[in-house]
Amino acid sequence: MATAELVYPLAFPKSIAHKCEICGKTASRMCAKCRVTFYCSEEHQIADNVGIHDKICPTLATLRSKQPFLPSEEERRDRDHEIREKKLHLIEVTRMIGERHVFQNRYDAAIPAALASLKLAMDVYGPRSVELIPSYLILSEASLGLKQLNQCWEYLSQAQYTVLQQQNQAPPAITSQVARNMAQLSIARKDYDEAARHLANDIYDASLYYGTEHYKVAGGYFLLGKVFKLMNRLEVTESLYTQVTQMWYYHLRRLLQSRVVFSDMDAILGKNDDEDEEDETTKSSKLDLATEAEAHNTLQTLLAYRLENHHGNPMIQELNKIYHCFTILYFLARDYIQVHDSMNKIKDCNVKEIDDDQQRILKFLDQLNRMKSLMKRQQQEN
Amino acid sequence: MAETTVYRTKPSNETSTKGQTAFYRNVILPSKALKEKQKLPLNQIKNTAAAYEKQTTLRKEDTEKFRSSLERQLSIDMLRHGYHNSFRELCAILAWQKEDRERLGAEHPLHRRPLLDAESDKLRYLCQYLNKAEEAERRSQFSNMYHNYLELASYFLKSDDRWLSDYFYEKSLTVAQTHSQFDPQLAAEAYLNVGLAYERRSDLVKALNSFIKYYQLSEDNEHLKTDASIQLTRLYMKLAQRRTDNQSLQYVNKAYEASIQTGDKKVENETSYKLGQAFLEHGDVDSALKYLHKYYDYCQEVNNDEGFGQASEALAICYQKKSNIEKSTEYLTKYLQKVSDKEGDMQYARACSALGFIHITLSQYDSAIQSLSKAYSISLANSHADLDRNRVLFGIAHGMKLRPAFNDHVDRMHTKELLQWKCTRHESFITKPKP
Repeated sequence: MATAELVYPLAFPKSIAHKCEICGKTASRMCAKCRVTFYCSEEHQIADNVGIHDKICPTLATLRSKQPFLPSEEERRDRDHEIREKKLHLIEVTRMIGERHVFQNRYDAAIPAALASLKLAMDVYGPRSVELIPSYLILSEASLGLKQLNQCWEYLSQAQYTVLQQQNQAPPAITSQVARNMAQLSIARKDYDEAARHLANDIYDASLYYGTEHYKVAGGYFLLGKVFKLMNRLEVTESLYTQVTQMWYYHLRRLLQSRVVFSDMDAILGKNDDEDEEDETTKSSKLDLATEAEAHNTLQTLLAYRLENHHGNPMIQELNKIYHCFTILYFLARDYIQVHDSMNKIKDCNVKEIDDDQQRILKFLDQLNRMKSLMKRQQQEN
Repeated sequence: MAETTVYRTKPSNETSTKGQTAFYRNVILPSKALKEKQKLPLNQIKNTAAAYEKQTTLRKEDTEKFRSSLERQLSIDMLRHGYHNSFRELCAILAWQKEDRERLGAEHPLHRRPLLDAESDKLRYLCQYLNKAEEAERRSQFSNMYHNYLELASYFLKSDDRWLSDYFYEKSLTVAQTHSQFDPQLAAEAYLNVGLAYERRSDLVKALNSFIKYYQLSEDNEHLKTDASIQLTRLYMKLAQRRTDNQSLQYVNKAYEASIQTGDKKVENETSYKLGQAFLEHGDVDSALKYLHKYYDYCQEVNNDEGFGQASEALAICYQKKSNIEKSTEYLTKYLQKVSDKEGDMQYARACSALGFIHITLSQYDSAIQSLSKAYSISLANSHADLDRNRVLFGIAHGMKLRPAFNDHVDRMHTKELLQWKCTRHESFITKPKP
């Protein structure tokens, strides 16, 4: 019986058909550098390249190539272990890249990155593990950004189902993130009650995990305020936004104090502060990209809300708090020009803490400038 | 282009039934298995189907209610409606209770009471009123907020959760303080409540501070002011009872000053009586006299017999201490006269015993014995509470009377007579002059 034999485009031996990285159809193109990634069309290849493939091409080559036979059991085990380590590392890298794309609103680039991380995670952990959920969340955020609500719903349902399957043993941090994204989807669908319910779940889980005053819970409060604003109940929004401001203010001040302490030490030791000494700063005092982007977005929205809703007499204290948060944010991101700008916007403030912080920042900038001029002089001498 | 899988993947749960056609395996076997399962009688199936149809479809939130604890449900309900402050307060209260328990150690009796999150009524009530308070705060209706906290505090007081009710009284105080420009009366009331709470916890110094503030704040309001003074008086008396040194005198003094402010004669005079007694205890007879006189006059006015009796007694003791015998007997005889129409009454007995006491101290043993015997017989007849006291005084009088003769015999070493006397204890034995 002669079955119609399908012709596979790439010149591989019979019955080996590779699938496109992005869509899963039969592939007709291959990446020339690593020779293990395949695509069905040029658009997909470009999209993947921009998104993630550029950065992980060489690593993928080693991971996906056919492994030669190793004689001893030990060597095989070692090699498997190495491969697993590489995959884990790669999962993290791809996730971070995906998140960065999302923050910079490059949603179409985020999707290949997140897909890559998802595939790797499935390889390592299995298709039903809780570890897959962050990748699903990035995918859902990206599809929300691209306005593909159904796709987003699918990804989130998958995440939720995974949580349910694990009999609620997922750490509350992850369940709160899932709930937060579901709430964002509900907001996009204009189902505000549903969104409020999801956010309630999110805030409860996050408070349980981090503590009720932690800045991670602030994201939930912020979205809840947005929901109530859309439902036109502004007094609730008011109290919620005040709470958000308070949480971010507290967190940023704490970061500033620990950061300025470290930087003082560096100045004394004579090290140039422009190098990033990741090891010395503790985890909690780092302001990573994700938090920074989130803080930036949140603070801008809060500022806009304050300025637009209180034409008459804005609550000066609240405004000052927000400006001060901006100051600290720019300072921690080393954007020193903006620091001076936002410091000047604070008027009529009589909160001692803000004055203290400003003194510190100014002193630090001063020191930095002096060191820079010193270094310049040294270079000129040499 | 349609995709076909290259290799046919065998499903792992396919039963290995060799020698049977695919048709049999895929169509006939499954239906047979189904028939085996459905051995229930038709009626039951119908009933279950009908019941299933009648069930209301549960929404997502209802299913969640079955899955989670009460605390979680209530928190999520609160958050859904935007009451995030209530949520955070609830978390804080529960955490506080747990911390407290851990701090007190495993064996403390407090542990026997269930944790708050195990008691559903209290949790619900708490959440309900916290929500109301938050709603009031949003609308800047601070008096409403204050009243809600007050409700919560009194509820927890009734259910004997002192720690919670104290916490809410203090919260209501902070609310009233920060918004006292609207209604100073609320602030005063709040201080009163907080003071009472401290008193219940036996923390008298703090209670004193709160009551003083209460007094200061209630300057305008007459009703509250008198109430404040009464509370202050009471508290000072309590404080005085605790301490037994000079401090107590100061406290009673302060109590008196406060009682003057009440404008209530009764309280004022009772305090003056107590003050007089305190002065007496500390030996300051003159000031004692002053205050006791005041009380005495008041009792005469109001015809308060018992008070009158107390006052007369005290005054008599004062004068006796000052060795002013006529005055003391004068007071006592007045007292006796006043109550003489009620012979057989306790007052009369007391009057007689007081008189007898004075006589003893004045070494007038015969008259002492006379009055004391009256007192003793009355109290014996009516089995008063004073019975023991009268008995003792009576005995003392007799003893004191016989003492000089006894000493005399001892000096002359008439041991035989003494021994005989000891056997019979007759009075005449000893007073008979011996050669």
